[in-house]
Amino acid sequence: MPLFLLATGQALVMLSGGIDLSASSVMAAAVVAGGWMMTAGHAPASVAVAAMLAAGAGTGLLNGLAVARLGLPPFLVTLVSMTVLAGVARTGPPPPSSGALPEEFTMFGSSLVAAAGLAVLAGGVVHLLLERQVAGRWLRALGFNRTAARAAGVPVARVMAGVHVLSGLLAAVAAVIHCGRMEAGAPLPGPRLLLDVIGAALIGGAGLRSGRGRVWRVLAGAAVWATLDTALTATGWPVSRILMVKAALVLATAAAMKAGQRAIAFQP
Amino acid sequence: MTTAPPSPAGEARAVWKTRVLHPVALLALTWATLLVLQPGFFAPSHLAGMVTQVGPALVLAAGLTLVMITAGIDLSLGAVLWLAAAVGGRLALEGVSWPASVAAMLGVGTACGAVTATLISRLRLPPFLVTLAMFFVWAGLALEIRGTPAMPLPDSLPSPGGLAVSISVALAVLAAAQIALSRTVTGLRMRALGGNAAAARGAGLSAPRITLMMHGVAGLCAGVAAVLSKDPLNGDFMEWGAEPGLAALAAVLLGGTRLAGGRGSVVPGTLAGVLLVQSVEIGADLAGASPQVGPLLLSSLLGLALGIDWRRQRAA
Repeated sequence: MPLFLLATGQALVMLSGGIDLSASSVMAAAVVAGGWMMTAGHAPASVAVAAMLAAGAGTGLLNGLAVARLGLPPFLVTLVSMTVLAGVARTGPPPPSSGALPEEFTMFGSSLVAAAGLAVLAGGVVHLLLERQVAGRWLRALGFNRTAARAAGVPVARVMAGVHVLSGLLAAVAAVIHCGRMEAGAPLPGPRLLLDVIGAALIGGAGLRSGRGRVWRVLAGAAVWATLDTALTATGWPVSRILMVKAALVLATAAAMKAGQRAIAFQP
Repeated sequence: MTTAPPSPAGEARAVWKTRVLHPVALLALTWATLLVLQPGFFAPSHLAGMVTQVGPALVLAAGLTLVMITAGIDLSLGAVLWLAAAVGGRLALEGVSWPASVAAMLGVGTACGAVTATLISRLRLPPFLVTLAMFFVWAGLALEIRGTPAMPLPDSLPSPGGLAVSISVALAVLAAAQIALSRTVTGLRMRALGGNAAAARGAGLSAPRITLMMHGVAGLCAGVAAVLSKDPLNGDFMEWGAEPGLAALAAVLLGGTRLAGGRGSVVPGTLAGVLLVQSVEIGADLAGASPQVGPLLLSSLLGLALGIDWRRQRAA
């Protein structure tokens, strides 16, 4: 479920022709911050959730502004926020186990129904945004051909900033779900989740200036990568070997998508 | 976007901005700050420590500079360094003589760069995506060779000579890279490709060939850096913060090589950038920062470098 949310956000950013390397680290940092607020700070769950969502959206806004206003390449901007947030998450206090957190907070992760409901809600909103709203049209136009989109009057900067904010927000929602399923001492989802997210979004058809991508395809992509992750973990291989295989598969997916796209579209 | 009218005062300001953002000026500024905040930085022992560390970083960054001037990027170089070091360590364990080990390390580096370049050209994917994925592939291979848990590697890798050799090799690589960049036809082609890829292709340049050459050289540089490194194999391979590649990226950008490609220099640019990054790291160390702050510091420097690159782009 968290993977689907992260991949949906990633797909949105990739539709705009960019990439968000920071999403999984936003999630990790939100988990640490939220856990700390509720255990050490004794903050009520609602405050912690609001803070996590605000932090996610805020990071997205910073990324989006740097990309849209300054014209910096998305991968470098989000690489910086990724390393900063991963560093914050690692230097911060270790996340508590979900047992130590308030019940009304952990229910989103521990109860399958609540988690699925949250994911369906988020996926549904993004789906409607993409398929039924002008913003979705703008986003596709922007990803397919930025110059043409600007000429056609698409508010390019606002759309670019918007997708980054959404990506950060979805990562924070993923963090809320993750918090409900944490065991004490479990490793944080950090850069390790990154390849899964990119791979799922690629299968979702987003990315590489395709202007395509649908939410239900991202769901399928997330399912594929979750299955893959389970299968690879079951082999008992070391993390480094699993990451190696995943990296090769991400490249293969990207190449296959690119080849398919070249077969039907012109080459810019 | 508000562009100032071309008044003499505005022009003078623009000139001043380009000067103050010059890499050497940035380095001088950093050193002046350190002189005030951490006078101990200039103690001979610390300077000597910096000189011992700086060789591999210089070589790695020189290779990355060449890639970035052609408007490419290579995020995998840190992992190539580890892979070459792991191969070298394994060969040393097997009792292979050092010239053969060194040759193998350089060969591994070059081969990695060539594979990356081929993937970029053939798959026509964005270089950052390919090299990000290759980072995990090379790092994974390095761990396979090193073994988990770590096999007992010799303390120092097979390295010919000591500090003097390290520094002279680094300086020779820097000089060679700068001469290739500014005095040879290849350098002209690289800058042409980085400045305007479509125009360069129209003029008959082969982008795949230049990409292959540059990534090959960058991989070779990573191999050289592995040979020169004291203990490249400690630290957590998979954690991003421990990546020397990030430090090289920040150094190259601070050194004035444009992210958009086409412009930049190894000497003085990248040289100043590497010294700057190292000085800041050592300064933070002297100030008593915990090692965990290192990755944070590095990424802030990278963010700063992005901002400076943007200012330079606008000032130009």
